[in-house]
Amino acid sequence: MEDGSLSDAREPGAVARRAGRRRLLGLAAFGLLCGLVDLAAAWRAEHPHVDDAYRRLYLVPGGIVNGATGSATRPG
Amino acid sequence: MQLVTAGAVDRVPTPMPGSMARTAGCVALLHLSLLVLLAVQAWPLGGLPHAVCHWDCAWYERIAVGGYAPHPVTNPADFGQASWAFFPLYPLLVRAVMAATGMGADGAGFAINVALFPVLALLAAAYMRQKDESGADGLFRVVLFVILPTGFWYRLPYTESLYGVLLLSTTMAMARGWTMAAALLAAGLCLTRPTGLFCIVTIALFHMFAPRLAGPTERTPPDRLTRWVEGAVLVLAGAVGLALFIFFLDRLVGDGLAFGHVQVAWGHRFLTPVVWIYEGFTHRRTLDLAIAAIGEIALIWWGFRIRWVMESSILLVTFLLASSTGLVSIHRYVLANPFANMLIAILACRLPRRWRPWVVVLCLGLDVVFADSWLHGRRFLV
Repeated sequence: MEDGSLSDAREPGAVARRAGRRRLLGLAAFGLLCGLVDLAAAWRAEHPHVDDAYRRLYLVPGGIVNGATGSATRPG
Repeated sequence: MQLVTAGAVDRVPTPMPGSMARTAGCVALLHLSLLVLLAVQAWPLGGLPHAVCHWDCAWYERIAVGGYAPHPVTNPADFGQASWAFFPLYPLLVRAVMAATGMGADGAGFAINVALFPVLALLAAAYMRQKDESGADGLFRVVLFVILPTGFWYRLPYTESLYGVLLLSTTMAMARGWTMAAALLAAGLCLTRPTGLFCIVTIALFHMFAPRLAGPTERTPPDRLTRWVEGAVLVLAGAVGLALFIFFLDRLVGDGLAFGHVQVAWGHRFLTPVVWIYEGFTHRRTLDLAIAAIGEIALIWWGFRIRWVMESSILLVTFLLASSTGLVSIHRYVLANPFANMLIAILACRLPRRWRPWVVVLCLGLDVVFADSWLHGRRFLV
């Protein structure tokens, strides 16, 4: 009887701990998946496949001097 | 080791239902009044939705209606500029509202911001209440948040309201331990503006290393392992938002970082903020921006002083990012951040009580002046 009530008292804590561990594992798995997508994006970002005109305009310093704009605003 | 986080001990003062209803009613009434005021000013200029759509709004509308163009602009005035600089979540929302309601792009963009601003104000009210458990000056703070002239941009068809709602709700969700919701919101934030990911990293770092300073003190902070996993998930999931835009641009133009590279067409180049501010003071055209930058530094410093550390860090990161490539729009980038508006509202609450009516009059007067300026296409608020 006494043993039974002790295990009853312990049980909610153990259940909560197990649930907490499961939650952390779920989050870690989700984070890992997101990390893989991020890595793929970083790889794509590091390897542009653009033509010479684009490269001269945007990827080489001095392609556009001082901006060309009289009317436009900062994007955001 | 304590792994349980969900349902941890809450220490939030629960607001009375009556006070919440009063706050919501007050926000709705003020918002409506300011819109009526704006509508009256916009009436001779072709109606409200059309008259408020200037500058970036035109880019967003073009994206919403016709999608991203694969080629840059080639006319001499805007040579090299392209829609890739503008992040996709807001134009996607505009497109969705257009499809759902049959409204034009002007109307849809305006409607989104009309709907989002009260949500932002209520989130800010909850945030300030949770940060300051005394609840003193609660209603006056919210009134100020709504009428502050630095919140003028929230009523425009820009990304400010959406960005503010996502930023605040991400912070609040993290503070409550709702990591998956925060992750989703973070991805949305990173799809809204280029500064989103930096804000997410800041929130995550505070969550991991200084949980007592990370947003409203909603619960007893969980153990270190839980905090680290939650913080890492927030950053990785937020970055997925940016990753999606990178994949899209990679397919469209062959350069996933085109949103950054195209900035050169707006004349942006890297210099330290101090140099930009100095240059701002030497040109009449940028004098107001340089003054705004100094004011922002003072506000951020004051934020740290009153121990709004995470919020001030987010503002500081935003300020440094924006001012390292020029001063244009520096006032909008920092002062239209909801944390800046909250700090200004709290600062105003510390003024002598007898000044309050004059503060309200000043805010309303400046709102009218700003609206007039914007509607007539003057550039100082851009």
